[in-house]
Amino acid sequence: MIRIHIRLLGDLREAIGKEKIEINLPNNSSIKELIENKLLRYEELKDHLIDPTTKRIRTDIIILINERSIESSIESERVKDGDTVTLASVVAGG
Amino acid sequence: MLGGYKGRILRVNLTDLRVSVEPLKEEYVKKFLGGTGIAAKILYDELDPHVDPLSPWNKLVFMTGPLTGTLAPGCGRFVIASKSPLTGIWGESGSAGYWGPELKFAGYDGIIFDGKAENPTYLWLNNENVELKDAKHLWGKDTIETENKLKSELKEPRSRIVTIGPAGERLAKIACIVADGGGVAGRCGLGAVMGSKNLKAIAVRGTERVEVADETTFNDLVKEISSIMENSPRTKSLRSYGSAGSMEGNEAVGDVPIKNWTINSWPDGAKKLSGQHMAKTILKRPVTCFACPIACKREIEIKSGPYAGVKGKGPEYETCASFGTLLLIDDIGVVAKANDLCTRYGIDTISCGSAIAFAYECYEKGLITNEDTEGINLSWGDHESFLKMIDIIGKREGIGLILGDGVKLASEKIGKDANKFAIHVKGLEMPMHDPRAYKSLALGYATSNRGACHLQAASHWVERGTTFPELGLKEKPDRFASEGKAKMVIDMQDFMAVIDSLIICKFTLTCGYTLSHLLRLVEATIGYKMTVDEFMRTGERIFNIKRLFNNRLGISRKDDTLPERIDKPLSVGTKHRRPDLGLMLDEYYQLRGWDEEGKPKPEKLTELEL
Repeated sequence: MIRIHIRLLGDLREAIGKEKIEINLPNNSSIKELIENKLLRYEELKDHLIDPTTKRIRTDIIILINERSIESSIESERVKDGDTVTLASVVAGG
Repeated sequence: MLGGYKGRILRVNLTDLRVSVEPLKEEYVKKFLGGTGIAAKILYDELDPHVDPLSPWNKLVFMTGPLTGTLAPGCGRFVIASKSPLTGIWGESGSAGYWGPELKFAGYDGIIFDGKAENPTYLWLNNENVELKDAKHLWGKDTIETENKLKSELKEPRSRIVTIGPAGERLAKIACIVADGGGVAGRCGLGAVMGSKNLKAIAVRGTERVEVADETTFNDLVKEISSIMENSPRTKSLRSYGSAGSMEGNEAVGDVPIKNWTINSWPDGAKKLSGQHMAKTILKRPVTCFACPIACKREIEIKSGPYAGVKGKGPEYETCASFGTLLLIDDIGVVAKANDLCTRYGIDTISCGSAIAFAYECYEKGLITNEDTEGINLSWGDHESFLKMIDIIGKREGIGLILGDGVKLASEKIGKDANKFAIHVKGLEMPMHDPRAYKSLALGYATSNRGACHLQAASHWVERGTTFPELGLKEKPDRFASEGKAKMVIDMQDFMAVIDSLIICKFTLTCGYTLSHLLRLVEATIGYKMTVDEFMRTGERIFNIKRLFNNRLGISRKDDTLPERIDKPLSVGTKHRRPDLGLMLDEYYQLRGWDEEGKPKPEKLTELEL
């Protein structure tokens, strides 16, 4: 098992009232598995993380592993022990 | 006339105080739709390109679109266009609220002003009655006082007002036009054009509804779109937190400019300037524009502390960044106070924050001293000097006189290396999104017809994962890749040119509005079918006629650039990369059908019927 620090920004933090969460995941887990198996347990995050039309994880979420933003697929991006994963939802900015 | 339009343009010559009504030309409608498209056609045809923007011979066009004033969600916007005094090229700016719909209800699609009134004047449109009235008693008053006074003396509390403040009267080139007590057409200094014409305000009251071609289909469609938008989590986010709800996410990816674009990380500052923090501290309620379910505007009230008593329209994302992160200020109270000052003076907050950040850096590097600032110590993050700077820009006093003309002119006056700290493209201060974080922004800023602008393409939305499947933009691209970005920027520029012509708020596009909805709305409203190709071709035509306007003024490849500071990443690795502008520009010109100097080729003009 690996330990991952989750940091939620903006309306994701407000949705569950917490900025930081610690989670345990099986070794070599992907970002997709992290979201599906851990974050979606929070009912309040579902609207923010799941596309209501496709029922899949939204494409318009900002995700960073440590300081690096995820530009490739969330299936192929893996996390390792001690990583900090930051998530924020995208809102149209004036 | 086709549905959606009133079919009438009001022409006002302020020199002779003469008004006339002329039909909206069908050719304009078919080829340019409305809004920014028709405004561009009018100015391209009628304006001597070399006219001084602040002379009586410049023209100022207020335009609505066919959807303005209908109950289609998000259609409360209007556009203002002119030759910009800030940039000397094509200038346009839009605002939301209620004024645009009211102009339609009064029976007009748009107004064209030229000439210059001998004395301060305002225009009063009350349905069929048109009057040019004395505004001497309003001259010098701020925008909020002006609006209140006009509503009171006209005895029409339901009239809608656009006005300039003291900055526009005094011809500050970063002056804006304020609608409905705080909706702002901020960019390109069009408030100074109004001021140069001695035109203080336009008050409108109308009671005639906007007819659509197929009312049953239109109403069904409005219900369908409204339901989708109402249930969108993005609508809920914008309503709860406004556009500044994106602040922390933007900061996390290096999109937010900090300390005049020299730092790319300040998470604590971003949190304190976010819409989420605003909601917990100074937000009174979300405010909506005409017929919009989103309600992204903020009404704020500060009840305690040094800025107690400030209330009214609150700051949006751009202002939270330009008055916050850009100046190393992390206090939402002082940002709200500064926003209120700018609304009252009638100053664009993006250009104003940029001008003050520029001054701070010049001061820090010794290019200006206390002698120039008349004793104001300019230090990053300091509230007092910041608010003083806004006051002197609004009053056109001291160094505020040159800062109020924007960073490009100010840097030329200060000289030495000041141009290195002047962050603009073609004279328009860059908005608060960093092209080093999203490569498409670099190309979008360099080629935007009004100078640096993130909304003329909004292509960074695609790089953030908002998809537009009907445009072929089905997946989130790598934000740091150059490949494919030219095509993406072109598609989004053409798409947004139509959005600004119909006119619809761009925020709706992230809340469930699709291109298919738009095409069905156009058919139900106007009465004729448009294919995706025709829709995009119209956008291409509109984008190109603005480019032609600028080409006539000498704009070419040499001007499609970025500031030197922005052409380099701040750090290797995670947040920023070099924009690769030259590479993307070559591909962009080729795909646009422009020559190597950035001029549309004759065959492209023929193809676009220009």
